[in-house]
Amino acid sequence: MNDPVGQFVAGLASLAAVPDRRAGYVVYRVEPVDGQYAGDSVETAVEVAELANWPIAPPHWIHLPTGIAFPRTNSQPSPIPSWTRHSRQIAEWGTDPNSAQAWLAHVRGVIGEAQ
Amino acid sequence: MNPLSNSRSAARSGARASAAPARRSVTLRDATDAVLRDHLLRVDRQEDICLATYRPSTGATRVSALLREVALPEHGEREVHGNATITAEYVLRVAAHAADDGDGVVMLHSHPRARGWQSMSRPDRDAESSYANLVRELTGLPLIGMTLAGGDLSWSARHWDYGVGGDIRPSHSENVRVIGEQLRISWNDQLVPPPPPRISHVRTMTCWGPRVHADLTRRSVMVVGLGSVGLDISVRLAAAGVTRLGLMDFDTVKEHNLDRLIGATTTDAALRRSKLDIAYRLATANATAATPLIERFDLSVCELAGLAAALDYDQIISCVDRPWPRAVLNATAYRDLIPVIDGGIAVDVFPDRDAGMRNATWRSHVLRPGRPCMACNHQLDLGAVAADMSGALDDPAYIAGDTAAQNTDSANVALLSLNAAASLLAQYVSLNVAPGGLGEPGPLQYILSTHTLEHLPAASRPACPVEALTGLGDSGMRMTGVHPAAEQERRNHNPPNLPRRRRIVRRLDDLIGWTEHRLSRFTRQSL
Repeated sequence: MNDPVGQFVAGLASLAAVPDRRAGYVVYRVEPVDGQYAGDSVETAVEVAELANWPIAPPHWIHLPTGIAFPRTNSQPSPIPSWTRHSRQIAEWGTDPNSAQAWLAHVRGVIGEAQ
Repeated sequence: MNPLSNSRSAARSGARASAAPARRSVTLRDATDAVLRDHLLRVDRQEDICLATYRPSTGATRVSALLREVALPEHGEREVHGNATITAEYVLRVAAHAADDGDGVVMLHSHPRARGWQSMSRPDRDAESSYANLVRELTGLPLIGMTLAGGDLSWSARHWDYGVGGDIRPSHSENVRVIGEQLRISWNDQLVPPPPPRISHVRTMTCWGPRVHADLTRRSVMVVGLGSVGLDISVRLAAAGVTRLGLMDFDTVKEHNLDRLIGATTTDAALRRSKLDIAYRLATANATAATPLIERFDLSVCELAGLAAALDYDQIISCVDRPWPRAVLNATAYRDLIPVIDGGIAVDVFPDRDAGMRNATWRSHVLRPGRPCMACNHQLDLGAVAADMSGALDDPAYIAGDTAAQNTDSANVALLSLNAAASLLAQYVSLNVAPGGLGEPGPLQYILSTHTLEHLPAASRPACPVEALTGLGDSGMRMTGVHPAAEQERRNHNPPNLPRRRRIVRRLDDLIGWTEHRLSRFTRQSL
């Protein structure tokens, strides 16, 4: 409970999401099941600052390479060069006993909407 | 000197280093209380003894021991012979288990026929002091001693945290709180004496009698959020005679608040008064306790100092609407075993604002172990907390791209916010006074359009990450952080930051307020 970032990284690692903690970010990989990137291993990231309350409160922004575009999105430039961060609020957080799994399902679903 | 201050008030803002907490308390859940009663109150009316574990919960001025697990003696670990004694093996077994879990140890015994707060007999003192050093060495936490008076089920408690070796001594708790559908509190009258009866309380005391009134008014209450609902609640608590009232808000009165902040004036908005100043002014003017302690905190509960202040109170009333402070208070109710009475009002409007009003609902609930948390009863979206923490909900660029954020413009009217305040205060009375022996009723919702009051069938989710914090105290996640919006608002209403003309007028207004305050005090005391 005292190392939320460590818990997040360990959770993703247990699900083979290959988390890599870099300066200010945790970069990891997901494989969407729908959409243009279905079956691809897509690199994505969250800000470490947004993990301060993990697993009670999940991150808000999903960072993706700018080439991954959405028909509708509320986005801002990501501090990661050539990346964009997208505002995506996860609903009903706290229902799944495996928080890392719930988070990956959320991100997978978001990337599934990319065009 | 702030003219609004008096000797029994305190105003705090920003992060502030504080001395070690001087006050002590103990908290336990009603389920734990039942297990302990079952063991300690014997059919043969002899004394009995057992051990339990605890975690500390540290506020700015108070440390509370939160009881976690009762460790009943196994065969041969205690003897009952009128009095009761335990073996060193029992203490070592429980202390080792506690140390592994990061807990401390509590030693509990009974006085079967006694009533009220118990002082220690020599055997009690010898028993506790003989293990106090050992337990502290093994667990790193002071031994807590507790006594259950069988005559009226009162608890008393002390923390063996003063001195070392043969000179170890206890710091006595000011109260012991049992959290359930009712909040039951045993008082150490020497540290927190019952307030003297006053003529101004006669009508209130008629409702529940002088004993309940003396108990109720000793219970400290922190009101977090001093908008339309919180302001009204603060004034009513002060008027009811509550002796220790905390007020917390960092916001500034603005003109668009004036249709709901009853008691705030156009002058307050023009002079950039803080909402805290308004609440303090009105609560002080309406207070009926002989020496009310009204503490002011120009803070957010999301800031470390704000949360530490809130942990000093026996109960918290939550009148905030943002996800982050709601998440902090939600976690506090479970982690620190401080009941949080929460609620608010939501007004539904038609998309075409000229089409009139669709509906309004006001809800109220007590957050505590045994009741669903705010997220479980759908009054807090944990997914929105990170956005609030990051400042996105105040960022025009973010709001411009987010339809949901644009729609959260807090429609609210004074004609209805009073109902939310009333609903919260009804929960407060049920929790503290238990009319008819019934405690707080669970989540309630009133629907204005049909005028229907509903008991909501909310339930805790098995995987709830908030309720998993129950009883962890200082070792549980706090969810606090730097709060730029609070810092900005404090700068906004801080007098040195006002333009010169406003600063001069504010000084004049301060002087008028100070004169009124002194006159009121003189009148109360002398005429």
